[in-house]
Amino acid sequence: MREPEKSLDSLLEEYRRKPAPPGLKERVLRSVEEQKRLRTAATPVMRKLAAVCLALTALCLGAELMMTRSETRLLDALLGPDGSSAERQVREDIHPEQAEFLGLGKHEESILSLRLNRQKSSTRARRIDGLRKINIISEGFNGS
Amino acid sequence: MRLEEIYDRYGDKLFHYLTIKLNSANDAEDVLQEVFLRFARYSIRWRLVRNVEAFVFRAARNEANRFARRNMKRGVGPRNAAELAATMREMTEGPDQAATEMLTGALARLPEKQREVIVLKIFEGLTFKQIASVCGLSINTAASRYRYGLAGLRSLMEGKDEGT
Repeated sequence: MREPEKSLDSLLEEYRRKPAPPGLKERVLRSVEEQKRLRTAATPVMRKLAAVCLALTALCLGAELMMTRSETRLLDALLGPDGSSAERQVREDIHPEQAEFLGLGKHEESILSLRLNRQKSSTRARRIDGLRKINIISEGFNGS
Repeated sequence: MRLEEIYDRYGDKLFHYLTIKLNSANDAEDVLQEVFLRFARYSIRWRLVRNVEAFVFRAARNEANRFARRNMKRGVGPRNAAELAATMREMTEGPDQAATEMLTGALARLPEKQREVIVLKIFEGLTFKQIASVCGLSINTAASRYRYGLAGLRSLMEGKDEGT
């Protein structure tokens, strides 16, 4: 450091800060204590608020569950245990392969195949009837 | 370490530094309260703080900057050099009245960055390492700001209106 800077340094060392105004420490620490007290008072209130919110949420969820249950019971009572008629129709129309693809049980699959076979035999019987009728008609023509 | 102990060690220094930084004893008191409130709120483990003095000064500086930003948003601008000189005169005692007036007048006209380093070094007794930590500078930058500040101060006190 150069000489003039040194002299300025030593000159500056003669200056001191004045003491802080009286009562500053008490004021600062008192305000800190007050703020702390306010915060500690606010914390239990926040806890109570959180508990009330939690209880309300649980209440809403419980009510929702109960409403869903009663609605399901009502629908079951209206549509019967096998479900709606539309659903029944779909089950009847479905092909065994599709049933397998859709993952229906073996029992249901066998019922469906039986129904299909019955339908096939009735179609065959209808065809035979038709052929018979045609035969009778042609015999009638030949006879005349 | 209790808050009271922290205040006994650094409270007056912080108040002096904040008064010069904010150019108002009332604002300095508000900021000082806020600083101690933060210390209380975050329940700092003082044993783990390596350099407590630098830490408290840094906290005070950050809070003062926040306060100044809030003031600027509200349209309260910084005060002029004459007001700052008057504030510094109230906060400083020297060998004689005239010299004190001359020094504080010159200090008030220095750039803020240099003035801050000089105040921290001369009045608050911080080392360059601590000043660097407080202001977020390297030690060399803190030292050079101090040197430039002293040079500017000398020029101003000698009557040359350089101001750096």
